[in-house]
Amino acid sequence: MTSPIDIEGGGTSVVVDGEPGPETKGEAVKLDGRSPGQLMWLRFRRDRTGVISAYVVGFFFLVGLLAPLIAKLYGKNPYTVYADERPDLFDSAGVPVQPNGGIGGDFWFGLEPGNGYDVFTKLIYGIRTSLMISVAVTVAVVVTGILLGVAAGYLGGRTDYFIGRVIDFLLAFPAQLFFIASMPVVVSLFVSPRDETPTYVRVVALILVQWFLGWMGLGRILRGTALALREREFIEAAKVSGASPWRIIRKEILPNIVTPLLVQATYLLPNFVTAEAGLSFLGVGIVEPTPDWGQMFSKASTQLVMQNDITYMFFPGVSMIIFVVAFNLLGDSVRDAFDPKTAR
Amino acid sequence: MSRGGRHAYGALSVLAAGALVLTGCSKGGSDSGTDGKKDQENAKRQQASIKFGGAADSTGPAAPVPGAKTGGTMEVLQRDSYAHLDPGQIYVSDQMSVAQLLHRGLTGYKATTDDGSGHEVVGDLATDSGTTTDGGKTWKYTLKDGIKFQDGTPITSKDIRHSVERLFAPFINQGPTYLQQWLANASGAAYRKLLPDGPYKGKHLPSSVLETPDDKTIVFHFKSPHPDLPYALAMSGYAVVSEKGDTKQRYDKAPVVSGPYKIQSFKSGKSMVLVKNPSWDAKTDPIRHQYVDQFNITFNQQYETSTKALLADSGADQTGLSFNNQVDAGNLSQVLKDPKMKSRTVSGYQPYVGQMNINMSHPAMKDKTVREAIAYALPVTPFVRAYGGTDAMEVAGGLISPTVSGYDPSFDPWGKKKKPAGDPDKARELLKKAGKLNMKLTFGYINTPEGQQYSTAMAAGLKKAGFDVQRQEIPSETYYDQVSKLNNNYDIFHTAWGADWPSASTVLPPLYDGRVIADGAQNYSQVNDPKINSEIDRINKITDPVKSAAEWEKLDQYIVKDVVNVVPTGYYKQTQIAGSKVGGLVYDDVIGGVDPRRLFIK
Amino acid sequence: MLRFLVRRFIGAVVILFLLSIVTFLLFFGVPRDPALLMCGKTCNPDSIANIHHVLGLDKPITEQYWIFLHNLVLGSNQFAQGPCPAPCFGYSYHTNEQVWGTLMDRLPTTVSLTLGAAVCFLIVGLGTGLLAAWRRGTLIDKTATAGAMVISSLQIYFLGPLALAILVYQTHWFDKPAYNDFTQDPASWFTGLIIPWVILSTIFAAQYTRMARSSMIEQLQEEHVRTARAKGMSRGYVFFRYAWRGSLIPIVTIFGIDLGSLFGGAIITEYTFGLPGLGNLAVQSVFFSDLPLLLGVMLFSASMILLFNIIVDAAYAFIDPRVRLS
Repeated sequence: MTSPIDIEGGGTSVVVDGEPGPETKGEAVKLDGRSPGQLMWLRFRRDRTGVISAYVVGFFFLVGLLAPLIAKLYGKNPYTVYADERPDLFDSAGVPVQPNGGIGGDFWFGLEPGNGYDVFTKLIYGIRTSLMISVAVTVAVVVTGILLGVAAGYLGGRTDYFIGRVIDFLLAFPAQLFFIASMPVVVSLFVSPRDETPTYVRVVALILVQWFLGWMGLGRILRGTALALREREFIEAAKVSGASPWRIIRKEILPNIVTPLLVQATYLLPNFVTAEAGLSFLGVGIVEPTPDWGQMFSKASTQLVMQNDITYMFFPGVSMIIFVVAFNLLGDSVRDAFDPKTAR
Repeated sequence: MSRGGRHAYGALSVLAAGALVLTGCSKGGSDSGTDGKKDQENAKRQQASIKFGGAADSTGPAAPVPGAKTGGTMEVLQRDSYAHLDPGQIYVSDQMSVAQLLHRGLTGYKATTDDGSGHEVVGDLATDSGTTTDGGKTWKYTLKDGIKFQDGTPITSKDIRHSVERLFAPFINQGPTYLQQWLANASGAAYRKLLPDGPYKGKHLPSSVLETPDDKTIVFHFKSPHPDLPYALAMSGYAVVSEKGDTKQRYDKAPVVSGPYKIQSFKSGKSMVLVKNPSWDAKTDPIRHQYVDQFNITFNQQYETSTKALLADSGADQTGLSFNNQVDAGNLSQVLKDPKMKSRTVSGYQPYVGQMNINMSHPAMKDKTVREAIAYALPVTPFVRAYGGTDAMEVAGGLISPTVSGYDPSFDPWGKKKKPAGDPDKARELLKKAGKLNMKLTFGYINTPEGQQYSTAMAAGLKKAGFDVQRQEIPSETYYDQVSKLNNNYDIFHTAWGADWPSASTVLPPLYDGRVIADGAQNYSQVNDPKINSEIDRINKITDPVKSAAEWEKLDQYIVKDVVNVVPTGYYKQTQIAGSKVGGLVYDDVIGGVDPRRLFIK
Repeated sequence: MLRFLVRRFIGAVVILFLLSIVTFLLFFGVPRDPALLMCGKTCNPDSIANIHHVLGLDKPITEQYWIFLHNLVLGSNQFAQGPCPAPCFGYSYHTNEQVWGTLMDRLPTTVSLTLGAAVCFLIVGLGTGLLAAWRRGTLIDKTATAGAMVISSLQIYFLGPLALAILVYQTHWFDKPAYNDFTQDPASWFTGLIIPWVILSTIFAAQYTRMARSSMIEQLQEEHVRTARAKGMSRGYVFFRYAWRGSLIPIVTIFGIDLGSLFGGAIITEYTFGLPGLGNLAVQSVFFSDLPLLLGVMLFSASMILLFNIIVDAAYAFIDPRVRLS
């Protein structure tokens, strides 16, 4: 529901930024003798909010990456059924007897109502799963966006028309509805219905469906950028000097779209995280017992949790807010660093 | 925006998140009442043996409900709209509940006690529960006088014939198939060959199968004895359909009824209004009452919604209840703890018994020691937890539910009542003895929130005992189809089965008769044990329902303890609540819910 | 204008046509067989084949698709359940109801949810955004921006259950959200939807606050606004007379897209609060492999998205005289 807004909203502003971008950099290089990358880095480092956000985001990725190690040091794993291991801590419906979901020295974030999984390890493993999927979707979307967007913008003509119509068509898809409808189909493409669905198949399916309807916004923006670049003198010059289209795209166009690409990617990734969580929330994404951020929300919305242990829902909830806010702040900072002119 | 601004909102963000955390404190869980006391109550509440009534028992009107008054409108809150109202299509419990008010059949269950536990099968449209002279091969029924459909036309044997014949029509595919199979002497769907188009293309059942010599008499001829026919005919699925008023598929939304209430309006998915049926004559009906003037049924009421409305007990909800909605799991312990609220509830067993099937067709499962190890190791607590705790699910000992004649509460061969979380040490020992430690065990589970929850925990319990458990998910809508395929690759999988009538003859034969093993049949564990087979044949011939009940229980114990092809897990329970002005509130064990026929407004 | 509309509508029909093909193919990729769901307790290959025949699933897929199109445009009397006037999506496999009737039945819920929320989030979101832009740099601005940043990062599937847990289950201040017909009982219509409205519009309002603020600030830097100021017009006059109109343009675009997708069914919101709208219907139709219903919801949602796209484009012409529709 919310994803098209952010993509569109981000999109409009960046088309505006994208055009004067290269020019600004060109001037800066002459005056200071620093590369655009160095300049950007300097500007970014001066932005305290950006740096803090970057640390927070980095922290999440680190937690995801090191989840097994952290769990080992902590001495628990997200798969142990504490409701059967430690029945004294639960009532017969699986609600922790201690207040606040049994938070304490043994279980830092408490126990999950139901089977009584350890919430702390479940959360860090969940972050790991969600981030892994979202990063993969982002990479896939960026690659597709570059390929199709640049092709449409630079080649123009029939290619442009065709890709444009495909984008129009895909944008008319009710995205979330399509995700739900296609998840079982995509899963069934990989496994026969009678076999176990390994977790990686669900992961791949999630990546595929999100990728399929995720690239159009970025594709449009890159098309616009490539279209504008095509008319520039330096491209003309390259053409006249006999460079092949492939070389022009690789050497002249790609370096110039890095800016909008990086900015867009930082806006897209948190969107994919929340969309993935939404699918798991609806029950078509990652399922128990594989820990996943969205699956924790789905647990949090059960009667059992809502009536007996609302403390539980704050762990996935608050961690996700912090992550998304930090990532959005980081996105703003990255954009400002690339293009200090933009007022926002 | 200015630089400074963003620092401020970075800091504020953290504050806001912190504020959210502060509000998120919760109390811990607790169990209602003491478990020991409840188990005693449950043990008391079990189905007394049912007998088949004669002409005197079958004469109307029904004995009045103590304190009953007539008049008033009752509000009924239901979760699911009625997808089927055509008797031939009715096989789901909520449709069966409302069918008690709408449809009449040849036989029916008369309550012999006022608490919903005592029953007797009597003649409903027929003058008695049926007479047989050859041990159940030929059954004769005679219709009462003065029985009419809502449009005033008398019910004749032609209508009964039509009702039976249309069960063979292709569009009737949801209802029970006992009678059809018995008449055609066929298993599975082969009965359809007897009359492929139903009565609609001019063909009829031959009189060697179904005989209607005059307007009042119906005779069923079976090739083999079926002493359970009076039970079967009491199912809503075999209620009468008007030949004149039969609109085929469209009958499903607007049936011509014969019971004490008729449908005034039905907006599928929204509401339904039932009013008194003036053509119904109390003198002909030994089972039903017509105290309430009108039932206003509202659909799409989830369990929490109906529970909350009825708990509040204000306005129209004072005369409100639900035929089938339970008190939701979240409110259950709270409601049962408060004596004031508890007095407005009724509780009882649903007819279902949960069981973990062990697939006997797999070579690895043929080792009895391994099966015993599974039986010891399997934790039942995850199952109880997933369905809301001990108020909603009771640990089972055997396969015969407390609502079925013959239930034995003391039977508990695997110690599940004492150690519901399983006995991994004993299981490990057995597994070691069999030399199968760390053997692979494929566990097919139903992909619902409950199924996911209990299967993961059960798998963890089995792993502790030394099994290498492989969980495989199965889509919920096709679950039973998948597990009833003969070549499925699941070693263990959980199913629940409810008796179609309160006799174990609808439980043990379909589930454990080795001769009915087929794709799509219900012998899920694919057990083929000569003693089970011969016992089924022997007990099926006993015409006295009280005697056969005792024999079925013996067979149940043999299956669970000596064959070990299934491990019983739980008896499903439910609690229902009504407004303070609802009278005649009784949990009926046969219906598996509130008995709608006895309700009145105080 | 008329030519523009005709062209856009033809385009929309083509897209819907393609979408219906994709959905049809998608459904036939599902490993689940709707016949199994209808088969009842005693199911076997014969009765499955029988149901296949009744549903027409034994015909080749192209023929099935052709029948679907034919029925959609011309209606059909072939259904056993009864006549089915155009637009006929057939009868649901699961409930045996007419799909079009079911859609129209669920639509009021979705429309009530969407309109109620839209009114809230437009007023609150735009109001806060414009106020923040007007008082740029002050504490009001900073609070609004920071608040909007955090709130727009919230998700319905967190905020919704949280609100339910606190307001409904813990304190019992509110009833569990439900849909009641407005024409029958306006009061309970309002009380039943208040929590979903507030939750849905909170998140949207935050997004609109951010959009309105940045759009307004951009506008204030435009030349015609600066000229107006230079001519001596007061800040307030310029702000409310000139700038706000221009700042609306990007917001109208987004608003159109949002409305379109919400009218097609706010899936997560309806699922979270258990509201019987189109979104919930969609989830249900997927879980029951109910092709007629799924196709119906899919095409209806897509039509809403396309319709609002066209409305947005047409609305440009009124807001911004520089835009010429061609």
